[in-house]
Amino acid sequence: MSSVTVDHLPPGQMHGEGHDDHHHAIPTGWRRWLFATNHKDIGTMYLIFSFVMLMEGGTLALLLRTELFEPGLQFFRPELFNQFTTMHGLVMVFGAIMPAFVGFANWMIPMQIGASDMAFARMNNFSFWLLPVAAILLTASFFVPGGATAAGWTLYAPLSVQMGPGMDLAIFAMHLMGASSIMGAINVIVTILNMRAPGMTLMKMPLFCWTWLITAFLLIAVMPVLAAAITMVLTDRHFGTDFFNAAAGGDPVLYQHVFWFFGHPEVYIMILPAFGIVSLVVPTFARKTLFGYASMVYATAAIAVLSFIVWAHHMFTTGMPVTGQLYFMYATMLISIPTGVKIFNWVATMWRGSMTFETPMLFAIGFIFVFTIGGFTGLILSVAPIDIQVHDTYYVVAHFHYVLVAGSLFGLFAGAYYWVPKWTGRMYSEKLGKLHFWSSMISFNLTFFPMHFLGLAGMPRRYADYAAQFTTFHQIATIGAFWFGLSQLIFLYAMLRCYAGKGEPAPANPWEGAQGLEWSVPSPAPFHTFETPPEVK
Amino acid sequence: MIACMPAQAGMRIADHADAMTPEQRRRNRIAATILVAFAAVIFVWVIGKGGGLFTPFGGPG
Repeated sequence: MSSVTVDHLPPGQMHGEGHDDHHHAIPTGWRRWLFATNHKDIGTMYLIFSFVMLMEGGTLALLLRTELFEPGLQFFRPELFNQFTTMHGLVMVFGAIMPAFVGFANWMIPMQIGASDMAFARMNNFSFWLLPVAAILLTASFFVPGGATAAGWTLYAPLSVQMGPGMDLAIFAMHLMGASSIMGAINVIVTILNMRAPGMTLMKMPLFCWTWLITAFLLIAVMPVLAAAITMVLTDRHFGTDFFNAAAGGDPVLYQHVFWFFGHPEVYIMILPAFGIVSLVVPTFARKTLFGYASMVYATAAIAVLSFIVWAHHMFTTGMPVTGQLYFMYATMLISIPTGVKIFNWVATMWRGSMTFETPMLFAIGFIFVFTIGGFTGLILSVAPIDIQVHDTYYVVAHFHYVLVAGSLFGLFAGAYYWVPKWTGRMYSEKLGKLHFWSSMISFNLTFFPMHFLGLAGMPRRYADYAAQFTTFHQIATIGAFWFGLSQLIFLYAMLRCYAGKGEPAPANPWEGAQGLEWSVPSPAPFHTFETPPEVK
Repeated sequence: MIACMPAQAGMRIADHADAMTPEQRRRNRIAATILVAFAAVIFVWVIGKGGGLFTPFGGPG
């Protein structure tokens, strides 16, 4: 980020210290959480919610991997397997990754721009509390006649038009989660544009704020598109319309176009905030300012713009004119340019830096390394003839898990270890953090790298059974998946230790190289911060 | 942690609104209205266009 100098105050008079907490009541008990309007409380609730959903989605993934340990059907009927596959995707995307980033946004954006809170505190409360309702609807769909939706997380028509009431519950749940995301995005945009401290110009903002601002615009532009798509599915199911009914003049391929017009920007919604976190962590532990701050901002914006014009690369096999294929192929390849700029800048930031390898830095470097592998396989998949060969195989599964697990999730872990001293006032255990990193890194690759080979050999995704020749790689993947799942308990323990007040007390700025307003308030951050805006020079 | 009175005893729960100027609140409201309208227009437009949208690329070609 650009250099930001804050008016320094003597110890005891830091921003928020001994000032903000005593002249207003802090609500206690369940009211504090149900009626929460404080951005830190709401951020904490988002983070807890997303971790619970991560556990739910992870459990579903382990059920899938259990079934896939051997060829043949061992534990689940194929119908139930498909329900697990679908729900794993929906829970992870809409319940775990997106709310986790909103939790980070709630906690950090006001503190990073010197605002007292988010712009719309009550709407912030409402956005959060929609999520548990949606999660209950989604999870409860397992127990209705016909079970949960099994159409895949994309909810493609005509499958989604034909399924039982579990599909309706999923649609309502996604409407609620979409509404929550739109409200959250409005809050982020208005907070960043209208509530920055004096002197905090846009180009002085930490990269995390920039990436979230751009993400929020993406959300506002594409969540209504998803809402429209699933509303059309709903009206096709119950109100006699035929948007996607080919027999009545509708077009099921229309659903795919509308869905992926949402779906591809959605990929960047889940990764851009992680770029922001990594762009803060790398300079901190390299003890240098970020290389190419402005180019990082422009690259983020370029990725966001390009994400709107590449959607049909998900649909090369559905049939489209060759000119269409060529256009979407080349447009998709273009995304590698701004992404490459980012990776170059992170490496250049580390170049000749005084690097240390605390856990946030390990996850950030791990992110760069493994996300780049996912990026390259994405580039390979953008080539239409190759994509047609490996479409709907495990190669695609490997690709998007390299981007979304090693990308988004490792970015989230980097951020959690980086900021947990600010959240709890306690340092996490480096020993546990490093164990978590190495255990996750090895088990992640053990799980997903063999999937490239499975896909290239022709193993289709979303199948409960497979030919015996795929057994070894599936068994390696299953062992890796259980190892990866258990590794996340280390993370849970490391975080709970901090929240329980164990570990070294954290100073206001525990990181030698960290810059930004959030480090000018004590740790843990007081209930109210920056009620008097700081002066940024 | 600072000991605090419970909120239900008629005590006003402070929120950040105290820290915002009326001008800031006005600008926030305007920005939010524009963004909500933008989202609503996209939703209505996608459904409104419905079957005609994207068909040049749709179908078996």
